[in-house]
Amino acid sequence: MSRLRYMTRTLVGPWGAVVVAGLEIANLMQRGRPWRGELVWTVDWLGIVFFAAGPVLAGLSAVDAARITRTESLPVLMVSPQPWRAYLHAVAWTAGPASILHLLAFAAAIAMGWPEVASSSVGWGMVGLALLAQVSQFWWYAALGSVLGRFLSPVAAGLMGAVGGLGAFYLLGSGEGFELLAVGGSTVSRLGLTWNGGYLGLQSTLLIGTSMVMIVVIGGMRGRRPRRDGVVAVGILMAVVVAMLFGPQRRILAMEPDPPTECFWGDPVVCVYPEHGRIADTVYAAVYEAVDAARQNGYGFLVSEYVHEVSRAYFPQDADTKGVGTDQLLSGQEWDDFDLIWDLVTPWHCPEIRDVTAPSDIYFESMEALVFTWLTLLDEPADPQIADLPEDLLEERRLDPAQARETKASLDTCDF
Amino acid sequence: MLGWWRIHRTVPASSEMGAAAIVGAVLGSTTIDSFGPVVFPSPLLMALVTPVVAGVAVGTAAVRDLSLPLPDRLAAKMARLSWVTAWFLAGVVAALVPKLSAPTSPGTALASTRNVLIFGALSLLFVHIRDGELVWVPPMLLILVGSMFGFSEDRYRWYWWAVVFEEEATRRQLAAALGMAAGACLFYAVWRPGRRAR
Repeated sequence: MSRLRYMTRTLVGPWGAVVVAGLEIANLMQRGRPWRGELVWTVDWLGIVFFAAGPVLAGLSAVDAARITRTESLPVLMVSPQPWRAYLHAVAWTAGPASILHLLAFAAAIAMGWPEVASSSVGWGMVGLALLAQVSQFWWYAALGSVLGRFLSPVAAGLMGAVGGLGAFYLLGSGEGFELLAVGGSTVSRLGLTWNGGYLGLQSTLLIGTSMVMIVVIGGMRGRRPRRDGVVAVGILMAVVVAMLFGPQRRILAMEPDPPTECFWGDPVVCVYPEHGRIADTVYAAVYEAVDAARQNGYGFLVSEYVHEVSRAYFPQDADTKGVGTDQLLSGQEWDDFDLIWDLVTPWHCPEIRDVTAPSDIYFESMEALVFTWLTLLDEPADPQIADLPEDLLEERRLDPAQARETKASLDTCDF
Repeated sequence: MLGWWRIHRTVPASSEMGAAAIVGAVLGSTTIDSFGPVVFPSPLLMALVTPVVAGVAVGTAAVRDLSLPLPDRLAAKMARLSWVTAWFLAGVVAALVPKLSAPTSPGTALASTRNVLIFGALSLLFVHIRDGELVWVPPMLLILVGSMFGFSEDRYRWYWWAVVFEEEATRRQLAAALGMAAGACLFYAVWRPGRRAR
């Protein structure tokens, strides 16, 4: 305990833990926690904190490094055979607590998503690798700050370290292909996707390698073997460049497109993914409400035999199965009638609707006519466009059963 | 006066203030909806973000590197108050100068002013901590955390604590920002900062 007290009094880096703790809590509480139950999404969501945590840790670490270099520790450094130890020590007290907090946040997130999260088919080894790639980034940002701080006064070091961290986040964290600082940070479901193990492995290796270069090699330049250290530094930096050019290009890969398995065996059969068990009842209720409205008004032919929740990899493969996307429900919002019925009418089995080029206008006109018709059949249309429409206009735009049957049949042929 | 100039961090603060004006002139008229992989919940007007540097400059200028065990008389308190007020004014000018070349709405000019006051006040909170080497932390945190978590998707507006991202400043906001800045100045005038004894 006295060691912790000593460190928090002599270094500013450990105080970064307070910032990281706040960020982790805020991140776990925001936007209705839609990631609960999904393993890949849970870890990727945790990556959101790096935008703020990375630059702040880099800034704090820069202040410590500037102090170590400029002030009272300098004589100690000069006589030490390993002058980088002081820098490593400061970086460890900056990134270490942050890493522990990040893993605690992961444990809390798993607890929030339990027991659904256990049904994921992604291996825990892969989860560990993804977490390693994230945690290594705390060390990388702290090491970056440490390097910058060595060349700056303590006054300028903090702001410049933070700006440097932001610059690195911008330059090395986005774009196509291999990115050293990619963290995930997805705000939409990742069901049906898994990580690329080769990507994460290379990323972690290079993050740790470059961090060591920044701490040990650049920190030890005053030591006895500057030439050998320089060769190591150049070698690792070249490895980063080569990896960015020729390394694995995709961090996330599509899994086998498996259909959902948690089903309500009514008519139609409605299935959701076990990871989304917490919204299953809401999905069943909403689908059957829409289905009942269609059947009671003589539009039962619009209803398919099966309704499946879709994922990032799986879409229904035949005209008898319709799909529903659940992003709104996952984030705790009401399911929009329009979106639900649009999904129930969509010919998901037609690959043309997912083409890069949008389907023709005829497709959208048919879809809109059918969706409008179905919306008018609901007991209480929540859609204001329908609710406020005069009765005569409503009748005019609504397809009669024969027209609706014909429109649906033409959509299901995938001929747009 | 020269002594006063010397015992405060005038040179780094001036550099930061100059940088604030230059960055504001270059980026002030742009709007960004993402930064690298981060997509913001609502686009950010850079004219509202760049005053963060001016705010940090106010905090930096307020740090003094020398503290003699002299009595802290009213004249010294008044000198500190004038010093930090002058830096706030310089911050407001630095935030507004770029607008002369690239005219924006008057509402946005007031919003930039509001932000300099808020960032400067936050920065002053950390003047007494760790030799003032962390004056950048509160304004920087507000920008980073606010841009990510500060927007309410339900009400489709920024939360009160992320008001720095609102494109038009209301009178109430300006009054509150002015109050914050005045409070921070008085706090600074009353409580003498100084380098810790080593």
